[in-house]
Amino acid sequence: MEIHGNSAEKELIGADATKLPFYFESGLDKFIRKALDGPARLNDPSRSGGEKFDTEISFISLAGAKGSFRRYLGVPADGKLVLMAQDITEQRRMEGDTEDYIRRIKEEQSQLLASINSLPLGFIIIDLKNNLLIENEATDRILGLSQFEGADIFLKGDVSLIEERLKGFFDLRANYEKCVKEKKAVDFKEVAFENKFLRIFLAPILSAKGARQEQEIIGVAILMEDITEAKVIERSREEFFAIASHELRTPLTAIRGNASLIEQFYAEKINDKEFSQMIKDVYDASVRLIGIVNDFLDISRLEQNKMEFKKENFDAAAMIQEVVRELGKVAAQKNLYLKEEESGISLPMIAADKNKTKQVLTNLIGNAVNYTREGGVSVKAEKEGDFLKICVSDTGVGISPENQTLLFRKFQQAGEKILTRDMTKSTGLGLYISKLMVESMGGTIGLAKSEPNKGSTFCFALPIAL
Amino acid sequence: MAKIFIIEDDPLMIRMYEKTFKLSGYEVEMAFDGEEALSKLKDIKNKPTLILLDVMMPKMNGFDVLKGLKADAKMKDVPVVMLTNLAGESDAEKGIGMGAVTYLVKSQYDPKQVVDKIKEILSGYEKKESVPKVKAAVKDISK
Repeated sequence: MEIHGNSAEKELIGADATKLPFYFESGLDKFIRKALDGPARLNDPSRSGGEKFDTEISFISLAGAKGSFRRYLGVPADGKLVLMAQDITEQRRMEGDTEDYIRRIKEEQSQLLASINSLPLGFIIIDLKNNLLIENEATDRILGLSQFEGADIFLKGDVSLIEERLKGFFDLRANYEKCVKEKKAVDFKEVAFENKFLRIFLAPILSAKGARQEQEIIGVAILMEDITEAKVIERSREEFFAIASHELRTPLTAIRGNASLIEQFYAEKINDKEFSQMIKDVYDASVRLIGIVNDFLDISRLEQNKMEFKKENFDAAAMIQEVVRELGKVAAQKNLYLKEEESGISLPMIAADKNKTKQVLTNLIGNAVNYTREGGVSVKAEKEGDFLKICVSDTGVGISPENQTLLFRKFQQAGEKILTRDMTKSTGLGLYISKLMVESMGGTIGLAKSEPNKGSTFCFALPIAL
Repeated sequence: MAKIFIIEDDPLMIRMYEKTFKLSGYEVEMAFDGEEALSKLKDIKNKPTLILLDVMMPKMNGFDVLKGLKADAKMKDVPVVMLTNLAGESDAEKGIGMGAVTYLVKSQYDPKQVVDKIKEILSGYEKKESVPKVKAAVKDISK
């Protein structure tokens, strides 16, 4: 059985057909036999019921050594078999690529859907025709939607079911329309829903950026988070501080108040010096403790952004005078001077919270007095661009360079390790509180200069009123 | 003699302020919660010169008491000073907005300093200065 043919199949011409690599597996052997035996009526093994066909056979085989594919079409004619070959290597490769591609997309899709479904956040996508394109299990759970149970993540129909569920708590449609109209995300940090608190975030989905086309909104993605737990914790924390504020202060006030009453009204009844010193210690301790409680409460409010800052314009010069006058007595008790240096200009109004600014200045002057043994403290204010800079300089112990970096941190009195901290002076929270306050008012605070045994200068700057 | 009416639920605070005001030469009358205060003041023969009002109290809080006092034709001109350990500025503003003369945080002052502040307020009233002016001055000092 010699093969004849044209030049395209050069390598086959003249070969023995029975030696073809695909002779047996392809069924070519039977085909040839039947074809040569007479009218070709072959059973097609792929067709059930013994249906017959009589003309052609085709098969695909690897040909040659290059891994190229050929499709052969065999047609019996006059006792011979005409075998036509077509190189389908490229086609096969493309088919293979497409299969791979589809498989990969399917994999990616199922991964994506699995992640969307396992998100603890409710995730919804709505198109512009109000169709629910995607809706995950967390949404069902958060909203208590049993209707969608077991349903596919895709195509759950109309969004009205969700709208209906949120009715009375959140107007999904209005916000969704707003989101589309304004082309920007809307964030609702706290939506009360039945006995829960939700955070609902709506973001427009924009079409891919084209070279010419403008981006269009093609839908809206909605994220929904159950923040009930966090809210409960936050509330109990707030309650804790309200209680701490009230319940700690009341007994402390009684200790302070009664100790002061003894000193002020019963002094003549105390003839014992030691006894009177003990009363004074009780008084000082209670005042210090009240200060610590106040510091803790200030910090917790500042760190949680719960402290209220007024936006007001006030006279910087008057504010400085007030603080200097109030603290003058404290400085005088230590035989220190406390003075305000002439700035040579009339000071502008500051745009900040006056009481908080006073607290910052009081803290800086208080520290300066605390850490100064002789000499004193001076306050100077000057304009610096759009800011008024207020500096407090002392002739105190100063701060070594390595300790300067530790200032303004929580619980950090520079120069003192935890066990050797000087707790009689302060908790060390004052600078930290001052920093948080000044920054909340749009200003800056820092150590301007310091030299051990010479003194330090701390400055803060706040915006000048327009 | 000026009479101070103290509305306060905590026995520690009551004893302390009662003693201080008496030692400073004031007449003192007391109520231990908001409801008692309003009913006592309703039938009072000798109107107090000034009312010291706590905020956190059982039954009726200080703000509600203040509302009741300002709605009472007989009491609405008696100056009220809120004296509390709630230190929120919004609380202070709320009290002043509702007609309190000022708002003092207990832990910030010795009892004698509280008396001094009250004395200052009353002398302002004696001089027949206008109420808003006194209010502003006191608010300033208290901070």
